[in-house]
Amino acid sequence: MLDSQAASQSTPHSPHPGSPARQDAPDSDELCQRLQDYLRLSGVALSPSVELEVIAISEAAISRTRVPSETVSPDLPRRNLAYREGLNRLIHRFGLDAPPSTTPPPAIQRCGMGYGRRT
Amino acid sequence: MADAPEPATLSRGVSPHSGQPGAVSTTAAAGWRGVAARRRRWLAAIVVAQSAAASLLLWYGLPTTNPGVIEVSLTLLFALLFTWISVGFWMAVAGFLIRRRGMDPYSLQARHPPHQLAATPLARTAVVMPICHEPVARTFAGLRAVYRELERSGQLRHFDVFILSDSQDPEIWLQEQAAWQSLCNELGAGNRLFYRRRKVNLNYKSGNIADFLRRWGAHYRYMVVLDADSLMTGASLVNLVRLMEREPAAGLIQTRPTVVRARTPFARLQQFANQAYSPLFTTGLAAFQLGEATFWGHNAIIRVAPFMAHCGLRKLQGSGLFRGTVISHDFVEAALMGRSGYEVWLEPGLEGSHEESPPTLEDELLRDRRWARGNLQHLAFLLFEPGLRMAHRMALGNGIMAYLAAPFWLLFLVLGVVMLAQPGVSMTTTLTGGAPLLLALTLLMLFGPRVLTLLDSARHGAGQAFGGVPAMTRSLLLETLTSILLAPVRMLAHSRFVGSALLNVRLGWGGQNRGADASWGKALRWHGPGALIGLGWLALGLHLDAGLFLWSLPVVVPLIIAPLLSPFLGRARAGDRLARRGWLSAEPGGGSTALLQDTDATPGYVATPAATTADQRLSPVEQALVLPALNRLHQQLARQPQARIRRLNLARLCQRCLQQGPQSLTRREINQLMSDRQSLAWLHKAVWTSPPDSFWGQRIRWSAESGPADSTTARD
Repeated sequence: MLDSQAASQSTPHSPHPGSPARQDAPDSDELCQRLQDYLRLSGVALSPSVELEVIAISEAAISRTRVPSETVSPDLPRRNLAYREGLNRLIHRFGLDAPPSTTPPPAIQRCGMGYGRRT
Repeated sequence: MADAPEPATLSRGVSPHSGQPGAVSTTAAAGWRGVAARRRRWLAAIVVAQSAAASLLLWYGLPTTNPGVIEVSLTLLFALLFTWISVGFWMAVAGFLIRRRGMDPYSLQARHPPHQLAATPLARTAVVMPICHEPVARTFAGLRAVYRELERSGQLRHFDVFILSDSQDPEIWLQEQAAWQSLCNELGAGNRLFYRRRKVNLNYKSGNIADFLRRWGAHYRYMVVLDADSLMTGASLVNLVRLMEREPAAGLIQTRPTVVRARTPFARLQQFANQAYSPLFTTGLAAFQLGEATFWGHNAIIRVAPFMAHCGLRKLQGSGLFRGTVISHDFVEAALMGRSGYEVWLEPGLEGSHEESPPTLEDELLRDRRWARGNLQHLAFLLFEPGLRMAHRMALGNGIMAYLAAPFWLLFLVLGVVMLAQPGVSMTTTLTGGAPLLLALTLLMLFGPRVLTLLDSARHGAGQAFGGVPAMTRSLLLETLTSILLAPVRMLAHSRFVGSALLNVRLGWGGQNRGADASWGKALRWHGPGALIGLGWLALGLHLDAGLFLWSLPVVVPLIIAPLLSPFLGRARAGDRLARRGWLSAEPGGGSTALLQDTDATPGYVATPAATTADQRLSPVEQALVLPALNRLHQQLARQPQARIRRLNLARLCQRCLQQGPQSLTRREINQLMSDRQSLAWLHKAVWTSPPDSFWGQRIRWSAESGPADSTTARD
């Protein structure tokens, strides 16, 4: 539901994807930088091989947005599409959606509080 | 996932004499009640006789030949106040005498020699720390130190630690959650250190503890309650559990927390007074209370099953102050525990238990305002709760008197002025007969315990903890002088608190200031009216009688200088200077060095306001949305998806947060967003797809500029 809300952040009269007017896609460097930032802030070390992978992911994400899609709102700017696509691929590739290592408290065993009695 | 602790079956009809596996009954256990009764009779006889004698001295020293309402009221108030200070004096004397003999033979510790305690197996224990808008860095640093103490004790496997947050401000609780995760990661404590936040803080702290007990109480035989500023050594925690295992009739054991880590002169004065005087006072108090002691709300161990069965607190059903939540729950819980047949012990000999002092006078008074209201509420229990033990009723009365003494003293002074305003009466005629003797007796009651403290410290070699006996004497004189200066200020403030409590003026409930310096503005707001009253009083004294003017000075001058004195007492740098010059030194014993060092030497995520430049620029809410690991953590702790109507509202808030930043939302709206898993996930993605020159693009850039950040940095 919230994803559908995301569409409303775009301008109401954006042209359809793939049309000549849609020149708002990020360049590969810009997206690459964003994805590298995400990796770094996720605690992943940026080795040369990782950087290469990020470049590949960003290029794939940009090229993906060139193809009109039925599943994406036509109002969404290509920049957002590319960012989202790149982010999803990055998270999937590096397993960044794993839950944190903290543990929830022990299983709840409900017991009531008593209000005392005289002995 | 943590292994679920073995469940303990709770019985509502828990009895102190049902016994427990591994528990050893003691022959000394039965004898304490008779001893306590004898000691209390002696105390009552001495105090009553002495107060009666002092009151008669006053009565016959009054300057009027035809006593009226004013004179009778004066004498009654004097009798009450003198009784009050006499009890304190004789507590100190009893403590002094007992410490000369080593230890009270009827205390729990005396019953069980160290080798016997060391051989006692432990039981599952929860260490719980209820917090509400506390400074995150300090709180978690302390908890970390306590956890490491348990590790060092080699008994960690018997303990689980729970942070029970009632914080409602997202700027605070987001930091708490982040700090908790960092702490778990650092200590490898994911299966032993738990965080729980209540969305609704029903019944304040006691409600928070009750909420914990309802959910997880059945897992544990004991619970150690800590305050946000509590510190306890592993040895003290382990000894508490062992004592409870040895004493199946004990429902609660309260330790004597010593004040540590003071920095401002005010806090150093409290620290010195606490460490110097409390051994005598608490030893005396424990000797009179024995198994009918009270609970001070923290640094104590509680037997969970009887606590759950007997110590639930109903809302008060009266009117005004006596309606609603019980604010000061601890004394009442101890009384209810006593009513259920379990014993409540104060063990002053157990070392390694600490707390901190409020850094400024204003912070102490703010706390007193809450306590005054809470203690006055106890009147309902003192008078109307059936079945409470007399000792617990006396303790409730003592707590009430701690605050009522202030308006009584004020009234006593006012009546004194009124009496002197009568024609033909002057201070000169008043100071005849037994007045000098009465004055000497009063001074003995007030300052005698200080002399006993010096003697006790010299005898026990405790002077070294205060920098040697000469340095201790010097510090004691300074502390005495400051106490004299602050007494009228406290008297006036407490009188106001009592008045507002009786008029049922509502109070806010928030965290305490545990570190910030005092400010001139705050001091003026707090003490300005008192200074004006002091000036008026002085003028009246001059007008009425020169003697009255002079005798008023010890009360009036402190009121006038309070706006100037208070900010000085609240400056950390001034406190550090005093310490460098050897004033007010106070080193806690009890093997607490490692604990205190650990608390001070905390890693960056809790010791400093922020570990990275980016973190300083990003608010906790922005961090929660930008930093991936933090966002995942907050998602995990957030609520499941909401009903459709709520979702629509949340979607609208998400859009606003994304387009205008979190500052466009109210605290309530931010709370809604940060508590909702789906909103957190959506916003995180949306933030990261924002253009580089947008609000969120800038936050991402700031975060990235700080380099490989520890994404779980806590701000304070």
